[in-house]
Amino acid sequence: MFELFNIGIDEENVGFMIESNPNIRDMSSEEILDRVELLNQIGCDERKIRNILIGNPWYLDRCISDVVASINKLNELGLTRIDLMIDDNPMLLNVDEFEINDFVNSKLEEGYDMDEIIDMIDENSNVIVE
Amino acid sequence: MLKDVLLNLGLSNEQVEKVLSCYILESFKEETLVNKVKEIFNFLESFGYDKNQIVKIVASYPSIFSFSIEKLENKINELMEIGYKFEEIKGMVLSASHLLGHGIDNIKKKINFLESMGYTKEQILKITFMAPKIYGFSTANMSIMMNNIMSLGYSKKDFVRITVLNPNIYCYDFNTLKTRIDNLVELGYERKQVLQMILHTPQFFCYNLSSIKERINFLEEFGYTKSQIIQLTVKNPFIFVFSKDTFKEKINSMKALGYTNLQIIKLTMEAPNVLSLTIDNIKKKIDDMKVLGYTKEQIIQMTSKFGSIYTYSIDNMKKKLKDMISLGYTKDQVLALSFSFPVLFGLSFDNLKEKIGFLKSIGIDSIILDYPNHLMQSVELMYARYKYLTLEKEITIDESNAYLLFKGEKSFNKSYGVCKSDLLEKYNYDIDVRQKEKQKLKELK
Repeated sequence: MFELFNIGIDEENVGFMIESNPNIRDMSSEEILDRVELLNQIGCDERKIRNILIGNPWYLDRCISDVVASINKLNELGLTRIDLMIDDNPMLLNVDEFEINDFVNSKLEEGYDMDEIIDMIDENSNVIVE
Repeated sequence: MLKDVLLNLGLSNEQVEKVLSCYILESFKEETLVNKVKEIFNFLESFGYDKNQIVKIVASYPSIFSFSIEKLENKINELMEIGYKFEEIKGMVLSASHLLGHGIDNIKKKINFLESMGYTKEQILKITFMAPKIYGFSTANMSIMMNNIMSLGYSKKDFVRITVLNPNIYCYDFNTLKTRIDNLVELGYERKQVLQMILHTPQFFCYNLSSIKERINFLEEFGYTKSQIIQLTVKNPFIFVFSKDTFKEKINSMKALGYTNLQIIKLTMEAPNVLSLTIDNIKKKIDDMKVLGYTKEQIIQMTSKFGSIYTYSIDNMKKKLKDMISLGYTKDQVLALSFSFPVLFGLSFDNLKEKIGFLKSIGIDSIILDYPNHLMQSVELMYARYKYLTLEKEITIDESNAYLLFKGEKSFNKSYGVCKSDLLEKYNYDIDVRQKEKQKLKELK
C-alpha cells in the first residue's frame, strides 16, 4: 500500500481508494507495482498513473492478463494513445476484451461502419459500457 | 469391555467397529487400550472439543489411541513452532485428524516443497490451515496437480493464486475439474472465459453444474440476456456464490427503492460490486446523497448510469463537488453536471482542473455544462487541436464550434487530413504548458 504514497497519492485519496476497494489493503507490494508498471508500459507518466488509480481503484485487483488483452484489442482496432484514453476514463481499465468485441459487433449489427465505431470509442470510451 | 467404553463415550456401532479393526491397536492389551481411550478423550476435552467433535476425531483416526499424551502434546507444540496458532491447530485436527499422525519432519519437508512450488510461508500456513489434508499428499501428487492445472493454460503464478484462494482444489480429481470446465463451455461460455472466472474466483471451480444452472435461470427470468449473464458472471463469478434467495431478496429490495428491472440490470452490469453491498448500505448512501442536494429520483438515475457511485464514500463525493465549485461553477451547476455526467465522480481532481482550466483559458468552459461528455477527452488533445485549428486553419474557436475540438479521431482526420499522433507531437501540452508552469513555479520559489 505504501507504493501508492510513493507515486505521490496523498493520504486522503489513498483513504478514498481503500473505502471504494477495500481489497487494496490486502494487496502485496508486488501486486501493486505490477499494475503500476503496466500503466508505465502503456506510456502513462506518474501524473497519469496517480489520476488513473485515484479514479479507478478497482483496477488494482484486476487480472493483468485481462487488462493487457483489452489494451491489445483497443490497439488492434486502430485506437492510439491509449494512455490518454485511460487517463480520461480510468474505468476503461475495467472493460474486458469480450466487452469491446460485443460493443463493436452490436454497433456493426446496427449498421455503423468500423470507422464510425472507432470514432464513438475515441470520443467517449465510456460508450463501451454505457 | 473396550466396545462398551467406546459406545458409552458416544461412538456408533459402526464407528466402534472401525476402531476395533484398526490394526495398529491390535498389539495393545484391551485393558491398556481402555485406559488410553479414556486418557485421549480427557486430553481432547481439555483442548476444548465437545463430545461430538471428539467422536468425529477418533472415529476418523482411530490410531490416535496408540499415541501417548506426551507425543500429542509435542505434536501440538511443534505445529505451533511452525507458525500455526493454537485455535488453527484445533480446527485442522477436527477437519483432518490424520494430521496428528504425520511426523514433523515430513510436514517440514512438505512445507519446503510447497515453497519450491512458489508459495510464501504465509501462504503455506494459510492453505494447509484451510485444507490440512494437503499434508497427506505426496510431493509427486502435488506436482502432478500443478502440472495438470497448468496444462489448462495457467502459469505457475496463476496456480499459486488459485490454490491459495481455494486450496481444496488439491483434494479434487482433475478429471472432474476438467468436466466442470466442459460443462460451462456447453452453457455458452468460451473456454478462455471459464479459465478467467476460475482465476478470479477459484471457489467457482468446485460449484456443481445444477446450482450454476439454477442461478443462470434466475437471471434469465429477471430479464438479463444470455450475453449479459455471460458478461456479468465472467467478470464477477462471485455472483454464483449467492444463494438464489439472497440474490432475489437483494434485487427485490432494490426494486422497492425505485429501480426498474432494466435499471437494476444496467447498474449491475456496470458495477456488479454493488451486489455485494447490503441493502442498508445502499439506503444509507441514498440518504447521504439526498443531503448533498440530489433528489431520490436523480440518485436512482445517476446510479443506474454509474453504479460505482455506491462504492464511493460520501466524503469523497463531497470533496469532488467542493473541488468543482472551486473551479468556478455554482453548486446548482455542479449538481446538474454530476447528475447528467455521474462519471465525474470517477475522475481525479487534477485531471478535471487541467481540462477545465484549459477550456477556461480559451473562454469555452461553460460548454461542459451542456456537453459534460467532453470531459472524457484529454487536455493534451484539446490543446493540440485548438492550436492546430487556430494557428494553421485560422478558425476562431468559440462555443458555437467548440465541438471541433472533440470530434472522433477518424472524422477529424477525414476533415483536416491530420492525425492525432502528429498533432500531439507538434503541439505538445506537456512541453508547452506543464513544463513552463513548473519552470515558472521554480523561478517564483
